[in-house]
Amino acid sequence: MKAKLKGAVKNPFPKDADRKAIWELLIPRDFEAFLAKDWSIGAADFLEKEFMGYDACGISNPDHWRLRYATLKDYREEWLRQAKEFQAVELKAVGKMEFLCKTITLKDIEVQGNRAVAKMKANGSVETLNHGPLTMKWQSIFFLKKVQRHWKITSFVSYLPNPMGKSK
Amino acid sequence: MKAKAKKTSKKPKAKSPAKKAAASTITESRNPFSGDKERYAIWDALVRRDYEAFLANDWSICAGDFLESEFMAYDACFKADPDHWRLKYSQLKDYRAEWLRQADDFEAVEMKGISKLDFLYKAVVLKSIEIQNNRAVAHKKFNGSVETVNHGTLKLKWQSIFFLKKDRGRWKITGFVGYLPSPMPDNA
Repeated sequence: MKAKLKGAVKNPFPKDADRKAIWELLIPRDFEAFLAKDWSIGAADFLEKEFMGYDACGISNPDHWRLRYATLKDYREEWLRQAKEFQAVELKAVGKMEFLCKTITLKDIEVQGNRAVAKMKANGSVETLNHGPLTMKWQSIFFLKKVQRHWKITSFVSYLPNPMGKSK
Repeated sequence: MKAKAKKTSKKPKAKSPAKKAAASTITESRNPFSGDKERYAIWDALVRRDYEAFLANDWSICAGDFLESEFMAYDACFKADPDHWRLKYSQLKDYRAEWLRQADDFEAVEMKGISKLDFLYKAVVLKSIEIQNNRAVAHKKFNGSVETVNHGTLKLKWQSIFFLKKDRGRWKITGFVGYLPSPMPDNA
């Protein structure tokens, strides 16, 4: 799986230690864990004590956003539910890892001291054998903190529309 | 609305007891969550105490409302598109510096026909507070404008989302996404 991933996508930050590490945990490690349905692979990438996740539910208007994951346990449950769902899908003409790598990009990572914000964007769709077309079109913002030299996810705002409405 | 530099000495931090009593009499009745202990406390921190501190230009009044070790804040810069949002306050001291700068600016403004406190209360709405266990998210919306004697029309129009955590029995701000457009434009 790892070898295949290396062929599918390269870390866009080979010379930037912080961004390189952040990209590694948010993209290949998360994908690998997701496809293996194995939370333990990425578990250490979260700062459980400080964690919370906020869900924009695919809607621009913050009135609709929800405090969905007050604890990491809540998020893990949802992540595992999605991993299970994804496992049941059979894609046409493309591997799942390849599809994820082609669909999800992470190029904008802002770092300040021991804090970082990373924007993950998904934009792709694929035909499946058993679930009709599968479309991924959203963006999520991850907040991270460097703890004992390791970047950890403290929170996120997930599933913002991609693209968002334009500012007035 | 850049403040004219006028302060040469540090402001006295403590307010007179009379002034403080008057302030709390006015503001107590404004809290819309009288029957809800958690939301009452969060509103008090995000509105009443923030205003009291802001108008006194005294951060120490609200300093205890932040969880410094976990704090960071993100600035939407009045833009709907997250591509423009910035990690502006990676530490609480960065935010404090900006808050004090704004308090300085606001101190220099003279309003026509309304007190600053009344104006701030009229401009703000904080009714949506979601709580789950020891976590909360509060939406603070500003929508108001006022004529000033010395700075033209002052307009407050944005929304900020505050993230809070109950820490040893007290709600504390761990971060926010600030200065989102209000209203947000609909989906493109």
